[in-house]
Amino acid sequence: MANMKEIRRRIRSIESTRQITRAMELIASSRLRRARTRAEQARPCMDALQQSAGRLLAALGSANRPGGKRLLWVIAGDRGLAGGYNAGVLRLAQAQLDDGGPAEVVPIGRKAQEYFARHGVQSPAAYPGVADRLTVGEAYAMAQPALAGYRAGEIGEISVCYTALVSPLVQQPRILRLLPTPQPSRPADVQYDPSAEHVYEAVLETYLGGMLYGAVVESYAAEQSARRLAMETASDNAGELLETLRLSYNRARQSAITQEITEISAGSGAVGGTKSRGFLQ
Amino acid sequence: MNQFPLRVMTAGHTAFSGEVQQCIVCTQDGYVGILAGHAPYAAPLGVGILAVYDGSPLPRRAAIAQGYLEVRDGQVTVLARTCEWADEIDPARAQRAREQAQRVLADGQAGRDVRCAAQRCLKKAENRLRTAQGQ
Repeated sequence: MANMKEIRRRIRSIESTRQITRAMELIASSRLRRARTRAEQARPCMDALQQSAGRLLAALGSANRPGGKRLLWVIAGDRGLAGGYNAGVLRLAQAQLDDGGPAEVVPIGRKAQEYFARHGVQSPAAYPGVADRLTVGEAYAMAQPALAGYRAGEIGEISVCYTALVSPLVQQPRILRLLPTPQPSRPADVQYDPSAEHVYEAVLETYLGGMLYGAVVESYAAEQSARRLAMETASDNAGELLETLRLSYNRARQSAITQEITEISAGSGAVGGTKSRGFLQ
Repeated sequence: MNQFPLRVMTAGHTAFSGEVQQCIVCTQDGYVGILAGHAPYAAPLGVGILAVYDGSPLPRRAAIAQGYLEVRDGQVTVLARTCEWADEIDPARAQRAREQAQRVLADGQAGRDVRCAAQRCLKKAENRLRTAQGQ
């Protein structure tokens, strides 16, 4: 009987866990729909920025600035339980920090902020809890300090560490170096109005803020996708576990009943036996 | 009239993508008209109106602010920080933004940065109202 009670307790606990994971899966998939539309809308702009702004910046001389610090924007989630999403991107960011000179990190998302605080990495600013409702204007405001640092020459290199949503089942952590842009093979013959410097400033601002926005919405979609997948697997596992447990519960119940019947029939047999013997006598 | 491909984008969405006959863009130094076969060109955008002549009798108009314009290999790219088509603009919201900015400017207590920001907001709000009213 103790065994049955134990199994019943476990079944109940796994059932409530499954309820939670299923609810989280549903929430993640409804968020994923919105996040994916946002990411899909932002992607062509990110590509256009990378090509056209990258080319213009390279032509206008965003030369490598030795001596400046490296700045790394690290985009992770605000919550856990998203499979390897947070771990993947943070591992990549850590590897990037480990090789090379002094670096500053700007964590975006609570998990990134916690991770870098725990590892004693210096970060001039942190943006927890912004990913799900980030507007383009906010992204530009977030890019502003980095832009000022780059202009002043304190920051020599700006990269962003984010997670790309390759397909609904595959998320890939990536590092993208935003500045300095790679040098083009030949400088294009372009007319700059009113001057190359004015164009450079405008392009730099649009590029940095726009790329940051694109990286955040892409990461957010990847996070929801990872969470949905993780929770789906967890619900499936809970289902399998419940099946096995129900089987052993029924088995235990059956054997308990069998035992009771055997005991009763043996008992009544013993009693009946005495009676019948008495009757015969 | 010859046509050329035009893309109008912000970081969040593609506002327009297609063949057009002409587009008129507000750059920092004033309005620039682009026709097919334009030489390679780049300019920062100001706060103003973008008009797209895509064959319909009236041009499509949008309120744009900041960003840049690039003409390259016959392809025109307008990458703005904000871009709203005339029919998407909420005049009541623009009106509120304008009033708020005017209040800050009239107050006189605010610091220089705040006043600059309010001035930018005022300019943008007025531009949105102008675009929405079709002026």
